[in-house]
Amino acid sequence: MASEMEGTPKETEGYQIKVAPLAYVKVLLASLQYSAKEGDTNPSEKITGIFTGSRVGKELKIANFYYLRNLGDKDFDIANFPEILGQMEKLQLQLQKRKDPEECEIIGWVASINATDLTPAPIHLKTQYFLQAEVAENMVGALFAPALLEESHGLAFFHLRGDYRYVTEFSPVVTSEYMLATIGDSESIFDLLIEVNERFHYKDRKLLLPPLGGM
Amino acid sequence: MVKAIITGNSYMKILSHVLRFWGTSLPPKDRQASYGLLVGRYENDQILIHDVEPIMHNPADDLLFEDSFMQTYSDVNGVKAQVESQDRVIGWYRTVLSGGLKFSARDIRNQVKFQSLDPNASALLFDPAALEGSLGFSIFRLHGTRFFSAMSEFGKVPWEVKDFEDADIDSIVRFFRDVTKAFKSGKHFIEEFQEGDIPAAEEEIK
Repeated sequence: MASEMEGTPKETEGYQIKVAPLAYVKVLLASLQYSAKEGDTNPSEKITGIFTGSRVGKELKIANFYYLRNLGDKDFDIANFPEILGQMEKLQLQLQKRKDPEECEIIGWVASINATDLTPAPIHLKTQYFLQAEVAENMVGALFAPALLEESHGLAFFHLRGDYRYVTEFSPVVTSEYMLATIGDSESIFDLLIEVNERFHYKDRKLLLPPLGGM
Repeated sequence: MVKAIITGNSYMKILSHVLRFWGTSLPPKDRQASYGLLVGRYENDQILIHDVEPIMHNPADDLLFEDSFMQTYSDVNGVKAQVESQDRVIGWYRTVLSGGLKFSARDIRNQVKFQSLDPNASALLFDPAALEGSLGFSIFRLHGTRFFSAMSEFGKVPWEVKDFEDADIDSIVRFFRDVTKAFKSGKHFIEEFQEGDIPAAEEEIK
């Protein structure tokens, strides 16, 4: 008879993650708008934001991305940006009100890194531990490396294994497979393009995708 | 019944060309009309718009197509033939600056030129003011099969913008990467026909 002892890790493998093009191109816009020059894939400023979507068991569908903060030259450490927790809470309430089954909850966070290695650094693990332990056990973290764009989409997803009572920042890291897939409607991409065009041509041209709640 | 099917990428290109010269925050007197060509093919009763070629812009939206505009028709077809594509110019588009999606007398005169060359050609009018709540365009064609004139009757062609498929993802990503590149370089991310070309003589001087 199969049994499970207290404290036995519940999760032994990663999620299967589908990322909508809308969410991915918003990450691209948020990050690459800080490139120093045309075609530069090593922007000096890093960003972080939230992936939203839906989940059924191990299958996560990321429908959208909300750009939250420009991190400057720092890596994402939630301890330095406690206001992000409030933004997450607000976003979660908005999603609940909207009742869109494709985008009904926060799936996780993503931060850009200035490296070609997508292995989470200790600071990312600390952030992930905090969010899994304090906000939602099933939240995933993601890193986006613009420097890898010539060869891949430059994304990697991870979370910490274990029951939330036992997860620590030293818990084993589980990575997840992902693919870009056409979930969501085409019109959301067109709406984004309309917004971007307006900012590109007629606003102050400072940003293509400003962070939620302004600078 | 004839129906036009437009790829999502073609729609994004038209949208970007139109919005390059028309913004909600731009005073109406500064808005300009974009003109371009529809590229694709016909299959059974379907008009398949696979691509568009942005050609030019004009302060007013009542441009009468002259030889120079019609020359681009041949030029674009020449380029398509060179790369052995089965696609050809199958119509044109323009921005509506005011008055809504009405096929004007000037549009009919322009359309006569197109349908005299290709009886199946169509015209797409794009009204950015109608973007809230719709995709902002209608497609028109003169009735009949030959001998088109300014007196020809015309009608709307039903259309559908094809949903993105997984095979389109790379082109969507490329499109938005080009946007970020243009943002940094100060260039436009949608350029008009031969806009970026440098005449040979100038290039030699450089």
